[in-house]
Amino acid sequence: MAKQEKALAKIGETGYAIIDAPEAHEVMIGAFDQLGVSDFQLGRIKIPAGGGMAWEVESLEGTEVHQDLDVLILAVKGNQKSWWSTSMEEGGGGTPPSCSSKDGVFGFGVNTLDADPDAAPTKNRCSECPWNQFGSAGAGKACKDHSLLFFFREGGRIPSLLVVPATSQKALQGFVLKLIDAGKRFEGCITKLSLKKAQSQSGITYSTLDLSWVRDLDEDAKAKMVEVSNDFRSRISDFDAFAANDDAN
Amino acid sequence: MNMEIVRRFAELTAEKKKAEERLRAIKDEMGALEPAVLSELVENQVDRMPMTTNDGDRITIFIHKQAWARPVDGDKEAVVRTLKRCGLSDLVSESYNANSLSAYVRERLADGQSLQPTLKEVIRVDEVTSIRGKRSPLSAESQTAKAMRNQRG
Repeated sequence: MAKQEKALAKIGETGYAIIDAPEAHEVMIGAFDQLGVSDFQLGRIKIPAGGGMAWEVESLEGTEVHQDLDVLILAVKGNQKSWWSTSMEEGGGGTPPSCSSKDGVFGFGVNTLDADPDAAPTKNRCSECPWNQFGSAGAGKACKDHSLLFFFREGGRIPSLLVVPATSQKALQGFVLKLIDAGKRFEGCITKLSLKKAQSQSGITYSTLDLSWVRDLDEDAKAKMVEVSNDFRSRISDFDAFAANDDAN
Repeated sequence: MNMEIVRRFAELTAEKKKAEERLRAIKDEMGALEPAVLSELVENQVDRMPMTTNDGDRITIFIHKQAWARPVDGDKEAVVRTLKRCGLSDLVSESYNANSLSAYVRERLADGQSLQPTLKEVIRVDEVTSIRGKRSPLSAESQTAKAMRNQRG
């Protein structure tokens, strides 16, 4: 049986202001160039704790709850690592990491527990760091791997950010690989962000990211999104997910 | 005595050990870099990247996906039982570990014990001669030497 083709999303009809509104791209880049992306308070969504199955999204009307979010992915920035010398319970929550990496190869910061409070940050090779070894936090790693997923919500002119934790990396990478396999790019299609329940070997229930393709943009809309994405990506090489927002971890 | 070939053998032994150490270090570094490279390819939405190294070698880095069946919680025995039960016994082969068996035989004979008659019927104990080299001094008598001496009585 032939597959039913889904209608392509055209400029002016996509529901995404960044494509539909002629000035949106210029306004966004202007805002970032003036304020810097790192210092800009991007809207954030978080993977809910304790196996929650709905997204909480801040909007002008307050907090909205959604089962799924149809988004336009703008950029993915992987190879991020963060390590806190104190646990969340001991005050590590809401503070910048003690050491972090933006390339997964070298971390910058103080990566020892007994360091002087005024110790100068150093460049640390991640592969040799004890906190980056499995077994440094139970069976897992004390240094947390994550990716940054930048996306537009329907109607949005400024991208939102999802910090994708290690437990959801496989889902994100698997989705992008599926798109590559199908000859698609993530900027060229609408993606559904959902949540799935999972359980660790020790019986802890948690949520993981689930991504699925919704439909393609038409060629003009796709070309516009690629342009927006290239402009954005050139501005996030030094993006620090934990510097601007104190409740990110 | 032809010292030339003995020296060459010693040189090759040293070279082999260095090459093995280097290979181990290369594998360790590649293992550490692999997640970062995968992430780079995903981030840039490319599944292969042909490139030329500084030494002029042309290498294509690509994402290779292959499904591997692994036992849940490492319970290999449960997989074997299930395979037999659901008509997939062709995938199960009973075998033994040749290194462990040889070590057991060496140890038993070295201790002056003979092999169990039923085991003696099905295995043959051969002394395999080879030349090896090592950096540390040799022990007075190896397990094999002791085993073969005791077997000869």
